[in-house]
This record gives sequence, C-alpha cells and structure tokens, in this order.
Amino acid sequence: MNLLIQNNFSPIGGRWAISLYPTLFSIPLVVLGAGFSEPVVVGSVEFWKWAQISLIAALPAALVLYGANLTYFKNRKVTPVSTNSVFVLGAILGFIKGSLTGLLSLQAGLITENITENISTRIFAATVIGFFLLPIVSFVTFQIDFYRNIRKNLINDLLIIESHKYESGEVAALLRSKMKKNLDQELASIFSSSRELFDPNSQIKPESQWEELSKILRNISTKNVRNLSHNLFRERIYGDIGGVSHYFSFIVRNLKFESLWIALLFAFTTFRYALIESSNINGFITTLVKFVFVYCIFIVAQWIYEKVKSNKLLSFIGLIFTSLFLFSLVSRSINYFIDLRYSNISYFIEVSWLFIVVVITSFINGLSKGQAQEIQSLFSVKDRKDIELVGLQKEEERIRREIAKYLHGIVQSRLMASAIKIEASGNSGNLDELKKEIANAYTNLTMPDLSFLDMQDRDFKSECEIIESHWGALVELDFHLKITNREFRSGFVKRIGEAVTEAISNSFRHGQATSVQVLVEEVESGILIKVIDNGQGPQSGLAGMGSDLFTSIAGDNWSLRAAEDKGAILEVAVTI
Amino acid sequence: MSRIRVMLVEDDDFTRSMVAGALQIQGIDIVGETGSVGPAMKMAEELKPDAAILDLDLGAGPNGIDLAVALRRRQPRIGIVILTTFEEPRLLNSKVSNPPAGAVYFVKKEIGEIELLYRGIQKAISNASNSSSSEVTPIKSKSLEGVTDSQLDTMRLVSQGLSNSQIAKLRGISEKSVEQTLSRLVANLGLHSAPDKNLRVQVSLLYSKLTGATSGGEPSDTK
Repeated sequence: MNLLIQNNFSPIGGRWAISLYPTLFSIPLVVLGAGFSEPVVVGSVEFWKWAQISLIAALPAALVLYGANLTYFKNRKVTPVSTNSVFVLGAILGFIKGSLTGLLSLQAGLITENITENISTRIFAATVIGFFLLPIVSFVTFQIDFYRNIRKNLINDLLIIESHKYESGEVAALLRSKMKKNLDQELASIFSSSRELFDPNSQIKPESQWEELSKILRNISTKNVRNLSHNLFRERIYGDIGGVSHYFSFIVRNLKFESLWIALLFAFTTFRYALIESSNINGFITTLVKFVFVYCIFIVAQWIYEKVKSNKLLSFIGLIFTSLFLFSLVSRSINYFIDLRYSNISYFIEVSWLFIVVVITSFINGLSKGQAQEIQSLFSVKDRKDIELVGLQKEEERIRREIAKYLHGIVQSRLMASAIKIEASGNSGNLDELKKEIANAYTNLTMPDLSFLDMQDRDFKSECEIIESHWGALVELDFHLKITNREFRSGFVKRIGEAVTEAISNSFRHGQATSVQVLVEEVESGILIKVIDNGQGPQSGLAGMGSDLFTSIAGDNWSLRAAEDKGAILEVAVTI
Repeated sequence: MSRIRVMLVEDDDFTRSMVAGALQIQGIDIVGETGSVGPAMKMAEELKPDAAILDLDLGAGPNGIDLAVALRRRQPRIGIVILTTFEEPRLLNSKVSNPPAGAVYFVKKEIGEIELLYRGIQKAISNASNSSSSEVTPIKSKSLEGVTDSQLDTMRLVSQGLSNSQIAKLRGISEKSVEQTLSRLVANLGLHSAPDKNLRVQVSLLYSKLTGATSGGEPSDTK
C-alpha cells in the first residue's frame, strides 16, 4: 500500500527500472530463443551452434547491463530514472548482442549467403528486440513486485484482523470455557471444603468462631476469587488466509490467448527470414501467411476457451496443443506449396518457439489481470472482516465485563458482604443474628451459578425472551415472530436483538410509550423488524435516536414515522 | 415521626449491603433490596416505599434512570436518589434520558459521610411531594462542559481501545469525521498533546476517571 505514495512510483523508470536479476535470469530464454527463432535451422547441430553463439554474444550485453546498474541506474530505488533511458539501454544491449551474434555466426560458417544483409538485419532485429524486451521485463517485474507488496500488506492486515477476531470472538469463548473449568475445579474445591465450616448442623460455635469464619470468607473473596479473575488467559489462534494456491487460482482464471500479440511476437521474431531472403518473395509470403493463420487460429482458440466452464487450465493446455498441431500442418503445407527446404527438426523448432510465445503472452496477461483481481478480492475480504471485527470486539468487551462483574460484583462481593455482616453481628453480640448470617454464608458458599457462561448463539425466541425479561417490567411488550428454522450466521440474531432493544428503549425513553408491539419477520431478502408503540410519536430533534445502530445494520433501509392514531412505527430491513 | 421507608436497587451485593447497613444505622427502614429492574418494580408496587435509591448502571437492559422514570409514572410521590460512580449519566450512554423531576443525583466518591446520603433521601422525598419543584434539571459534570453526545460516544469507544476506522464503521460515519470529533473532544476536555503523553490514552484515562473505574492519573490495579 505504501508503495503508492512513494516517489519512485514508476512502472519502468523506478526501482524496477532494469530489473537486473530477472533480466539476467532471462538469458537462457534469449539463448534458446536464438536457436528457436532462427529461420534456417535445419538440424540439431545448427540449433546448438546458434544457442552457443547467442550465449557468448549475450555475456558482454549482460556485463554492460551490470555496469549500468552500478552507474547511471544506481539510485533508481530512490530517484526514478527517465523511462526513455530504459528503452535506450535495451536497444544498446540488443545492438551489442546482435552485432556479436552476426560476427560469431559468420566466423562459425553459419552465414554463407547475403552476408552484409544478413548481419545488418540481425543487428537491426536484435536492437529492436532489446528496445522492447528490457522495458517489458521491467514492467512485468514492477507488476509482480508492486502487487506482491500490496498483497503482503493486505495479508498482514488480514492476519492482524484474524488474530484480533480470535482474541475477540473465539478467545471470548475460550475465556468462558476456561473460566468455567477453573470455577468448577478451583472454586468447587475451595467452596466445598470451606462450606462445611459454616454448616449450621455441624458442631460450630458461632460466639467463639465468628472471627475465624469471617476471615475465611474474606480470604476466599479477596484471594481466591480475585486471583482467578486475574488468571484468565488469552490464546491466539491464527487462520490460514491468502495462500499461494489462492494467488495462482486468480492467475489461471485470467489466462487468455492474446491472438494479436502472439501473432505479432511470433512474426516479429521470425521476420528476419523475410528480410534476409528479401530477394525471394517466398520469405514475405510465408511470414505473412503464418502471421494471419496464427492470429486466426488463436482467436478461435480463445472463443472456444471462453465457452468452457470447468477445468479451465486443462482446457487451456489442450487448446494450445491443438492449435500448435494445426499450425504445424499449415506451416508444412505452405512450405510444401512454395517449395521451402525445412527439415523435421526445423518444424519442431518453429512450433516450439510458437509454444513459448503463447505461454509467455498468456502468462503475462494472466499475471497482470489475476494479481489485480486477487488484490481486489483481498480488499473486499478485509473490508468484510473489518466490519466483523468491530462486532466481535464489542462482544468481547461485553463478555469481559460480564465475567469481571460476575467475579467481582457477585461472587467476591457476596462473600465480602457476608463476612462483614458476620463481623457486625459478632461484635454486637447478637447470637441469633450471628447464626442467621452464618447460615447465609453457608448458602452463599454454594457453587456459583454458571448459566451465563454457557451462553451460545441464541435463537430469535430466546433473544426476545431476554429482551422481555429486561424491559417487560417497564413497558408492555408484545412479540410476533415469523421466522423459519433456518440457521443464521454467528452474531446475527444478537444484532437483530440489539436493534429491537434500541427501538424499545427509544419508545420508552423518548416516546414515553407504555406498550410496544414488535414484529420480526423473515422476508425474501432478509429480516424485517417492525416496532409499533403507543407513545408520543417521532419528535423533532429525536428522530435520529438509534440511527447509528440502525444504519450500521441496515444501511439506509430503515424508517421512522408517526402512526395514524398515536405513536410511532419503526421499520428496519436487515439483509442476511 | 415514622421512619423513612426506602428500597435499594443496586446490582453489586457488597455495595448494596454496605449502603443498607449504613442507612439502617441512620434510622432508615430498608424495606427491600434487589439488583434488577423486574423485582424492583414489583417490590415498589407491593411495599410502596417513600424513596428508592437506584444504581445508574444495572447491567444489560434498562438503567437506573429508566427505572426511576417508570417508578415515578406509577408512584408520582416516590423520592428518587440515583447513586452511581458516573459523574454524568451521559457517560453510561449518550442516549440516556434525564432523571425524573426532583431526583437527587449522587456520585459515590463524593459522599464523604452517610449523613449526606440521608439528607439527599429526605430532599428527594420532599421534591417528589412538592409540585413546584417538578422541573427537570439535566445533570452535568464540569469536566464535560461543552462536550457533545457524539463526542462522548467517541470518547467511550476510544476508551474501549477501538481505532478511528473501527469507530467510523460502528457509528456509520467517515473516518475523517471521527478524527474531527476527536480533535474537538480533546479541545473541549482541555487536553494537550505532549511527547510523553498520548492523547488517546489521556482520553481513556479521563473516561475511566469520570465513570469511577479508576481514580484518574495512573491506571489502577484491577479491583
């Protein structure tokens, strides 16, 4: 992401300007390409000779490239160089390689006819190839590096979100189970062993033992229960997202036969024959016919490929080989027609070169489009998870508060209150009161109620029951549920419950309603909440009450209006 | 003279028993004690107390002010005392309503002597029976003067550790609006940036202080 704001943001002249290592790694391709694209190779011996010459000729060009890397292009990562300089350097490298290839092939006796034309054409072709090749490598490297960095940052973000998510949601569940387990094991033993001391049926002597009993209660409250709450643990669980297979699936999905590029590249790398044999019209005819044929056959291949719905990669490979087979037949026919002297190995080399051209163009296409699409998909995943995270963090906060409140506010507080009451009645010498308080302490030392710690996702009915238990004493509630038995995503019912609670509290607080009807209905696109009250109706200045919550769950799909007779009607449509 | 009859609604057992004990020593008759809204309404209906002492934060569901409003609707003469750690009700929730007319609001840490609470109960009962004192006076903390509801909501979310983007999503507004709200909040609270003081931490600490979670200054040990 931060790459976007760096001042060297330049696809060709920036930090990827000459892409030293990718360019050097492409030398074997250039070396073999020389043999493959040579128009008059008639056997394997010639093929390897061309390859050797190409390798030797490529070495000085590689040294020049390395030299440029150490001098003019040295600070490109900080200060971008001009884009033109990359084209010029490419042309220089091509010129060097073309010149040396020409001279060496002459020395090796591979060129015997039209020497001047042959060598000058070779130099010209190599210069043009270099002129385009270096910027293309730079551009492709830029793309890979650029998306890789965005991807890395995005996946980092996702991992952080995932870890927070687990801290919030999953760990909250773990906290619950851990706490329950701890309470079961630790508190149960403490409570049961201490409890018998308070048993009114035992040989307890309240008048002489009350101080000791009070001390025991204080200890359990301040040490055991308090420490237990402090020892609640956190556990981090990471998810596996954005893996390599995810990345490649997008590249494969975007493979495409770029017929024009395939035909142009193939014709361009083999046009030397037409130029060298310029006295012979056959050279032009074969180049032109093959260009047109290659163009047409890959248009058809792409058309078929688009119709295929499954096994895309296999179909793509199948179509490549089918097209190449047809090309070899046509190439043989053309050559036969114009009486060209091609050997079997020449056909093999020609078809192999076309294969390389197809693979390279398709891969570059798949790479550039696929990477962009993958990034887009990761962004949308991140957005979804971001929203999810906010909800989960709220949930975590709520559960933490509940746990803390349970331990400190109920268990600890109850025991401490009991201890103080025992002390008060002990000090006052009121034996009856003391016995009563010891009996109360005996009751308080029963294992705490853990029902809320077992809370799972509730269904709509239970959610409404809980809302009724909270608000039913203040306002008359009438719930109507029209929900099927389908399962909703985790937290969904709770969010609906929050919206209903918000609506009821608004009716009570601001509408001064005494009666509220709640309809929760499953409709085609989601859940419709309708809340009708008998209050004062929407008041100016208060219409926005709860709007944050309604907007966050329903976007713009909610409305508040006055009822015909009296009161207000709130409608919230939530998409599932 | 008959003893004042009071019901106590406080969800913390320890605080409830402490307050009940202390008021009994003052000669007040504690007719009922509970920690939640449902039983409180029932208790008030059956026992008809002179006053109710209510905690503001009663956990999930209605808060102490909601309960006070409902009690007053059914028993117009009941005195209401809100006893809380929150310096201002809006700190619990910006959408909280005003307490009923004549209610007395006490912040726990400001009660030095139980006598003060006793007098507050007397005043609440007197206010409830005196129709001239039916005006509702919003409870405002000096520390929060000029702070809007929206700023207060943002303050609460910052103190929960949420980032600006998370707050924006939760409140359905842009991240830039959150930034602006936050800067206005910081200005209204009179906080200043310093190399050794992070503003978000200062906001969170102040929130904890105003809600009674810490004494302010340094983060305190968990109780």
